[in-house]
Amino acid sequence: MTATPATVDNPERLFLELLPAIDRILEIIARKNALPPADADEFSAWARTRLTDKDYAILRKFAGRSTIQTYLSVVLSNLFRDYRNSVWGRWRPSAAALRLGPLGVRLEELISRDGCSLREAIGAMRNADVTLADREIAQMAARLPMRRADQLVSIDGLSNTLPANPDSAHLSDEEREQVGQALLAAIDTLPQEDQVLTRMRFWDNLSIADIARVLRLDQKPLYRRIESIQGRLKSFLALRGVTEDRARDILSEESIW
Amino acid sequence: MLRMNERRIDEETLAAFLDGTLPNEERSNVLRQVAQSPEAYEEFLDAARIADTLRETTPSVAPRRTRTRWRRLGLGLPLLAAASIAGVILWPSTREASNVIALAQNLPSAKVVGSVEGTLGAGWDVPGWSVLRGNSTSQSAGSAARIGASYAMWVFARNANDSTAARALSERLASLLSSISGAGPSMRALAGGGREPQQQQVIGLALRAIAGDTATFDVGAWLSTTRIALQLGDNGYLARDAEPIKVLTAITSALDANASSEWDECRKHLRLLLTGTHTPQEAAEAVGAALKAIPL
Repeated sequence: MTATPATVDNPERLFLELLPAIDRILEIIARKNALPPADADEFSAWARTRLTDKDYAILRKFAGRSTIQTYLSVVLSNLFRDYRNSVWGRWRPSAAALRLGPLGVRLEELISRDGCSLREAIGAMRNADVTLADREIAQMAARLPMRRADQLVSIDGLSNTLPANPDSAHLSDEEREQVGQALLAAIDTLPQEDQVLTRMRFWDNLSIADIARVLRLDQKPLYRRIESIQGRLKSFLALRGVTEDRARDILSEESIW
Repeated sequence: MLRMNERRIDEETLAAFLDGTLPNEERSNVLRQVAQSPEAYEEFLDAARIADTLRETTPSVAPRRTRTRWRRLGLGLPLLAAASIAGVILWPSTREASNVIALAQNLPSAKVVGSVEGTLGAGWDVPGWSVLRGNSTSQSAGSAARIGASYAMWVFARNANDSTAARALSERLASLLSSISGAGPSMRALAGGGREPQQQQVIGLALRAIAGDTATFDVGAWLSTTRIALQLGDNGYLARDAEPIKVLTAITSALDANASSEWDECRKHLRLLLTGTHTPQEAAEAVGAALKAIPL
């Protein structure tokens, strides 16, 4: 399926042609975020309506600079963020949850935001076809910081502050501030692409193969490039007495990023 | 009220970035935004993960090959196959189909209390069409009409939330389609889908294309829909200026242009319905007789 500006002349037809791909993307979003079936259905219906709003404005806006599938992936991903924020408020996942990936974020939402017990959270994730064993989910939960639902930041009162991450509790606030600022300064000196690479590798724990694929880079030279970045940052931190483990904690602290 | 992120990267620009088709200067701009804004980074990474998964599971090759791969991949996405078929051979003439599908979708399914069978009576889904064997041409046309009729009933059952009836009808559709190469597996997989109106439309358009004879598919769907409307007691359904009569006018024109003389008996009853001079009882009898006159 390809779409060009010419085919957008008939957006309704395009929408119908794209519906299978749209549903596939919605399915991917639901699975990645471990949405229970009812929530997945509700979001899907909402997203389809957004796509048809204002005479299919989103589809008519498409100018053919990318594939239509990737365009829809971006659009629906953003729509999910809007939907999630509108329904649940702008929940900020902890750094630990982010490191565990979408399932970690979902587990944290269930436990910390929605107030579910671990058993209830496991049940909810089961309903969303998560295939991890109960023990694995419990282990994942044990790595999450304890937070309360009243820390949820509403969409109308958004604050950039974050609760402290216990992972880095072994650093005093002052130390963390100092090292963090220094590290930020070091990262800022990197080329933009290296800054993104650093975050993908150390924040999100993406494999080099994944990073290469997403950024359309050759995988082989990327190993050396990331080693080089890592070496620079380690040297920088070693000079200030910060170990590699602490550096990883600091790198995953959104508040200093 | 949703608040959009004012710093959001233009969606098509980000998509082109992920596709690797952005010019260097624009690519640098995107990288700068992603590097400097945590929100832009999250948007980028979320979209990248979705696009990557989509690419891994969706082939971008010619339609004939993709259908095979979809099945091999076990994606359970009959709509993909349906839309690929519809996209290739159907879309130029969808107006009549859209109208007849809309009629089926607009049936007042809320009138169903409990099951469809409990509301309309046993045999509501058995139109009683002919079992006489015809020649190969009429077999194809008759089969398309049966597919159309079964599809309309399936839509009604779906919208009435009667999953038992819907499942039975989707199995019937699968059986009707089993002799058509490649269609049977897709139809069986449709058993759990079709809750959304748009999905129903895509399924209907695809079935119409698969059935091969669009004029008689429409006849079957129209007759089946009308039969249900009359069973629900809508005595004004076939009023002279009502939408169903406008749709029937277009359908009979197509039938006259395309169908063989074996359809004459069916045509006769359809013309009676077009006159608007019938009582509700006569209309119901004419619809039943037209359904029975559909050649095998």
